[in-house]
Amino acid sequence: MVTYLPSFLDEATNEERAANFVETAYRTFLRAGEVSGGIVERYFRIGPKIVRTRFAQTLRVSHFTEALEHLACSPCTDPALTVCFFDSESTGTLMPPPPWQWDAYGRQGTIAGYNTRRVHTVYAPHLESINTIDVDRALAIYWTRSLDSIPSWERSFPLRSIFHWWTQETPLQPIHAGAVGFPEGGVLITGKSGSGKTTTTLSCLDSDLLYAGDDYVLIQAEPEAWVYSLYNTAKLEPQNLVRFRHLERHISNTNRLPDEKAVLYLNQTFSHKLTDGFPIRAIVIPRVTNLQDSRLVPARPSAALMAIAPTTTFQLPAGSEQVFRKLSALVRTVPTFVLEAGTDLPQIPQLISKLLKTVGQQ
Amino acid sequence: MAEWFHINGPNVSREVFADEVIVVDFIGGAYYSLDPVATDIWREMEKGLSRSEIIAALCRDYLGEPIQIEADVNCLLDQLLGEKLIVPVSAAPVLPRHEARVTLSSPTPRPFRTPILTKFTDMQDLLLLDPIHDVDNTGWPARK
Repeated sequence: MVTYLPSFLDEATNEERAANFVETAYRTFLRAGEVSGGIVERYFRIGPKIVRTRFAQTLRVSHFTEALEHLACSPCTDPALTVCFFDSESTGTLMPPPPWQWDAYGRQGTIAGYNTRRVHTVYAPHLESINTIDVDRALAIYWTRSLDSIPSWERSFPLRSIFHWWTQETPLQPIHAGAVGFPEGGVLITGKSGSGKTTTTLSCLDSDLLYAGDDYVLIQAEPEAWVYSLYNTAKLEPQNLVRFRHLERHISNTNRLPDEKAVLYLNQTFSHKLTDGFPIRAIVIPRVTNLQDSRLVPARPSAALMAIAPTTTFQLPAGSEQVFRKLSALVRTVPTFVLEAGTDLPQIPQLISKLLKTVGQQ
Repeated sequence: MAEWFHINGPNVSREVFADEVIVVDFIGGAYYSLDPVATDIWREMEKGLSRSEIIAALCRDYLGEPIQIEADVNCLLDQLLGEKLIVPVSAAPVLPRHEARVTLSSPTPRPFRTPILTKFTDMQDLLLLDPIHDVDNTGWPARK
């Protein structure tokens, strides 16, 4: 059965028109839930706040929650954000035709006229999905035509754009970085893709250091620099697997290698190594070397900004100036080091632990 | 020749460190690093100094041939204009009182080196989107 809802209203202002789009998408979600047998709810602690996720019953919920599972929490009556998920294939519910023309699709999938102070919207052609949020209502919708359109890499760090918009006017910010540390403090590990973030974070799994993420984490620059875990995943380049043979049996997408990065859900086998966050004591920029030994070299805060800001601001849609300001504030609060990461991996957590002891005493 | 400049915000943002400026062009998808001499020029530009005042300040604070300093300052300003990181303005910008046009005046002049603007474009692919060619009967883009 295919259900159509009335088309979008043609309102006077961009703000109202954009808000109407979210409302129509929300009503479509409710209808999808109705025809698919109900709505499933899960709650997660994202940073200092609780987020409610709602799914049309026929959706494979784990598709979107596996990466967040370590942050699962009890239901609450006043979540800070609600995100509604549905697809058209399993629910038989079509998303009404978009109220914009084909030339509205802009950079990074942003929809012209549907990104306002209050509403943000992107369409991802390769995922055939819409992400949209009405910040004033703390309501977001994630729609896709079919779950088959969502590859394993997207499942490994879902809702990045929605979390970005949701935190835009707050000190919080999702950023492209990893983090390891102790409850009393840890390091942010930053650099563009392929720089060695995952090598660094995974090498710490066999140490006392706890794991907060390898690719995207949530930071707060002020009043105290703090990192919150977002995803319990680790993503390894296939050619890098040789360094982590003992983790191969935990790879979730073996059948997609070597076309995709190997994805591991650490909550399944390393839940005791996961943390929901800690204060940031230093920023570490890894550089993979072919030398055996590793070492840490002090670096300037501008190096941290170069490593962290472009890769984050250009990956996330809109609001780039605010992201840049938050990251600029962050890099001035803690010292920066370049980690020349050698092939003897156990040296890496030893160096980071020693660094944390040193900066903790200062 | 334009005499005053300001940053091309909000499409461009910058962070000024002690001896380096990081500039990001959110529209073009490129980011830039200014070396210490270029950083001094940027600082003077942001203080609201005119082109000729910037040149005078650099001649005062650096040891070098004035003609060379003038040529290099002009070259850097033209690069910044060409990259659309700054825009020309026809009058001196009105600055808050605490940002009054005070020049560098370093205690001991340093040897002048040609200022360097380094451009990085490795993130530009992230801004590309598969063009939408067609929609299907649901009204949504048809997958290629």
